[in-house]
Amino acid sequence: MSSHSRLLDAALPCEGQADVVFAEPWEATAFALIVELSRAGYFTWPEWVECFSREVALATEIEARGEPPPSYYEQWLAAAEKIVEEKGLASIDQLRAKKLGIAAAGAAHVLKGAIRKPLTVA
Amino acid sequence: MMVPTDADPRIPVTILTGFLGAGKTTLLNRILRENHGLRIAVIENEFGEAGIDNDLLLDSGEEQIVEMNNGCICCTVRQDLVRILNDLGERRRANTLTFDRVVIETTGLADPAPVAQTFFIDDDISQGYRLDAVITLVDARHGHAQLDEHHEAQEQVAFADRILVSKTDLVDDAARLSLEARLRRMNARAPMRPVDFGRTPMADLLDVRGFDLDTILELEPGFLSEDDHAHDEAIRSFVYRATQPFDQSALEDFLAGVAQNYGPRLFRYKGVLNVAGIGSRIVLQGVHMLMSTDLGRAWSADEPRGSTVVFIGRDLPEAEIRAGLDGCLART
Repeated sequence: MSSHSRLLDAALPCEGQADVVFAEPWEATAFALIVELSRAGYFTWPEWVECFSREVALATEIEARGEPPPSYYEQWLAAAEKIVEEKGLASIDQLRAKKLGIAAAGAAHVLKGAIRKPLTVA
Repeated sequence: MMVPTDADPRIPVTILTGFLGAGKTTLLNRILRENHGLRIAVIENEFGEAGIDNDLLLDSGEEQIVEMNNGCICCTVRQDLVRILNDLGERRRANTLTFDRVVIETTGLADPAPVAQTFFIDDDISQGYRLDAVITLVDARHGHAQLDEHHEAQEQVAFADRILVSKTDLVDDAARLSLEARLRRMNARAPMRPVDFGRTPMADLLDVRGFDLDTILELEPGFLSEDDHAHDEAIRSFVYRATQPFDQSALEDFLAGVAQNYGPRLFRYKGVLNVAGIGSRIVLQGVHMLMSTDLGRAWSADEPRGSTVVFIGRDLPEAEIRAGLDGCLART
């Protein structure tokens, strides 16, 4: 079983209830990450909703200007990057550092398990 | 609050490669018999002549090379190892077998890539085990000939995080130095040392952290001042350095192209990157097309910033890669 589907199984309320449809595996990962981080208490769901709403508003503005807006999960991801930084879970530099290898290798070719130090909850 | 801890719960694994006669069996016997205070499970492809009765000595059976992800060359894994490592993990959890580490001995002819990739591609394995290092044994007396005759011997040197040269007492200094110079050209990053199997400290074999992104890239001195070109190797390494910072998105695109075009020929690469707008080092490492990056130590105000990357591969277009990387440097 792949790691993102494992994560998703843990995050989704239960089978059948979920009316969530993902076009790409990364969308499911982004969705599950936010649900799990919220469940683990790093931020409340209303805090997430507020953060996500700001991205939705930005996308609406872009659309109003006649430009192609980011997709629903691109908005989700942009909000996710912001909330993890706001909550001190990861810095923008950390996200950029991770992104370099993922962008260069492609998601399927990231060296798994090459984590530096595991994070634990204190 | 999230805090980083040093304790990685995964079981460390060492891959031991080397050509016939280099002394792998002697070394394994010591690992299994010596009272070194560690419980080390040893996985062999085929039992050698060791004749050791030990519950920590396991036979993975024949090599089973399996292509994952639609036959992508860098995504081949050793299914025989996946099976036996999962089995070992289950026995460890059930407390029917106790061990702290695993050493995998590959046959002299094995390609080290699928063995290493197994730890980065298979989800269960990457969660339960941490590949510590590839250690390659080279026989001082027969090393040159084996490198001339077998591409597998060359690849084992290219993949190494540490090179141990055995039987140095059987050759004179000139022969030993010529072999060491050759190994150094092939692999600029693996520390190399002579070994005496009676006395090699276990520390030379364990906790090398060759795949750890936190390990500082230490290039062996003398790598660039090489004048022995007797052997024009297909497999060799080169080091790229720059003081100007990289533009991140240009570098992403360029590295993507390198992985796509040269991935199959690129065995290992590792480096520290100075990227514009980022106050810390970015550490990079890769095996064929598999790559990862992470944030490293912050640059302090009084130190010069710079990038250093070592590439090890077969027939790599060095000039093209250098020029491409130069083209990714941020315009100031």
